[in-house]
Amino acid sequence: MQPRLRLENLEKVYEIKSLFKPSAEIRALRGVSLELFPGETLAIVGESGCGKSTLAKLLMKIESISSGRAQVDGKDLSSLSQKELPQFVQMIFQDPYSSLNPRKRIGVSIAEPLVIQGQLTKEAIQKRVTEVATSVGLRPEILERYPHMLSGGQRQRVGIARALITAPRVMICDEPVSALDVSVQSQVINLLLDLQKETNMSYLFISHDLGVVRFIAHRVAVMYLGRIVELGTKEQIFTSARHPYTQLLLKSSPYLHETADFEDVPTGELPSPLKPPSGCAFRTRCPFANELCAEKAPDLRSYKGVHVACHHAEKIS
Amino acid sequence: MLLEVRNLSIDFKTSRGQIQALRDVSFQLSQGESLGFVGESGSGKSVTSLAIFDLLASNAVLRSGEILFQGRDILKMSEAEKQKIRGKDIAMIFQDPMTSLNPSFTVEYQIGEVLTEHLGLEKHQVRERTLELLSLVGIPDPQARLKTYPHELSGGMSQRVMIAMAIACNPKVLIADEPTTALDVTIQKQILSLLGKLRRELKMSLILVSHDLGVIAQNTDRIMVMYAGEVVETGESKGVIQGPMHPYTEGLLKCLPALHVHEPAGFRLPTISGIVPNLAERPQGCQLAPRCQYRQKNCEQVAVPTTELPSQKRQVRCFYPLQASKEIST
Repeated sequence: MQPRLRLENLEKVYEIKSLFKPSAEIRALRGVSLELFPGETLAIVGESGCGKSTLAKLLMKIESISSGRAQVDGKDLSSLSQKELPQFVQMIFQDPYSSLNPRKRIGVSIAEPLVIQGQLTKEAIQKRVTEVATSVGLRPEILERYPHMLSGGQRQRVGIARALITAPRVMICDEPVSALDVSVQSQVINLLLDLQKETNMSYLFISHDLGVVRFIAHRVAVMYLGRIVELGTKEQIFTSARHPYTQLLLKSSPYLHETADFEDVPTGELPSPLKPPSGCAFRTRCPFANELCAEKAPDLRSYKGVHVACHHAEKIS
Repeated sequence: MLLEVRNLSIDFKTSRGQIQALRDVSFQLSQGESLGFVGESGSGKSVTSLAIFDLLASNAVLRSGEILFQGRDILKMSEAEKQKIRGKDIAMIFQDPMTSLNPSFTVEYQIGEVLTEHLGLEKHQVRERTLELLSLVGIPDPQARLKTYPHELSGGMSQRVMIAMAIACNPKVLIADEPTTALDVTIQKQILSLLGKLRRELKMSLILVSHDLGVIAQNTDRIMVMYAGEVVETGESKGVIQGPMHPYTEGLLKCLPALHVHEPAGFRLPTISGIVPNLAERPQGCQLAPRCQYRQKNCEQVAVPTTELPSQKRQVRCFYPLQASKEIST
């Protein structure tokens, strides 16, 4: 099966220029490779600064790729024009309020991607807008309203409708439910699941909420300081994580029915991306770190069916 | 009782008229106890915590109620009296540590300010106590941190500085309003563990406000669930999570995706249908009635009083509380 999305050794380097200091580099993405298949949800998890949002920006062509290749449906991302892009990749944002123009009626906002493409007649666009709005559970009269008149859940439905209208091959969901209350969150998650079932949509699902990820994802990629450190099926990641960082994440998440183990709280914070540690970026917080980790960055390798970037994966269970 | 809130009702004056933000909120907090406020946006959990600290916006109107701190009503105190309690006996930390710290002053100055203001410490004592506080909240190399400015600190470190300021005068009550929401999970765990440790060591009571039921479940003795400005259920954390008696608490728990991870493919998450009522146009009877699957005729017409269930140590604002034995399946 041809993947909807294929990333090969994707790199992003930001240059920090300053009048007063020597310029520096931030390597926001380092050798990121992954594939996303039709009808699949691949979750990207990791803490702030791990590169998950940079990845989304590169795929939306908001930022340029420094090196490496990205293909959507077999086509090179760089060969797609800004006008063509929405037919291939679209994005749902975290905060539906700030991503909608407060001066435009909802219907106009949803129609905008099609208007920009300029291939359909006004009537055809109108029809498509109503169709998409219904499919995300928005009543037609809402199309006449302005963003401030809508609830948070409705706004996120508008965000989804707008992304959906160009029938993209890949949908990037950047924390799509984090800003929503729990009762609304479950409605939006159900909607995403329904849409996937109907249209065989592929989701790149960026989230920090492991509860949501464990429910919605098929596969999970864990990122740390610009690299994928572990990639596997949901079951592999949640029940037999091999990378010490994945284990730390799982252990840190608050669960309802478990008493927290506050005796064994790992110390340390994310190192500065300007001065990442030599070798393995996680070694400064890792209980298994030794000299090898300081010398050589571990490659993402296959071990018992998962992809893991750790020298000590064999020792960790 | 260290802190007792009785029948607190607060309105906000807005351009669309007076909105009832809090209605008849009552709860108690004893010494050393941790109490969690849970609810969705607009439920009144932050308004309640701000009211205790007397930090409400100027358009807030007190309609009724008392806030008794060690038997004295905070609402009846003069500004000078309140000033003595605020920051000393009752301290507060907020969601976003980055915006709560003053960017133009050093860590030492900001912590020192609390110490001189409330405890009247001398200069050399201030330095000593500041260092002590910084190491108490787990900031590595406190000496080096004295002269740093907030922008040089990470989110987790800023929150530690905020906590150091809050506990500087050994407060009796610490109110933490979404203290870890802006932080990454690994740092969240560090901060929550720190709060737990300080609570035990300083015998401090904690009010933890959060939208995250997991955070509340793991870090509090008792839970108070709020909906549309009212307290709908109060009880021991474990009991409430395992056997919610108010339909809203039950709905909230059932919605959590984490509880359904073992369901087969194609499973749809349970939802609470409808939306939170507009506080300017409240339903007549139970506030949840329009969304409640168990509603009866009288729920829609009569305001619901709070029922006390002493055997279960539970208070529920519902005519038809769910059976306590009914467990939410994991």
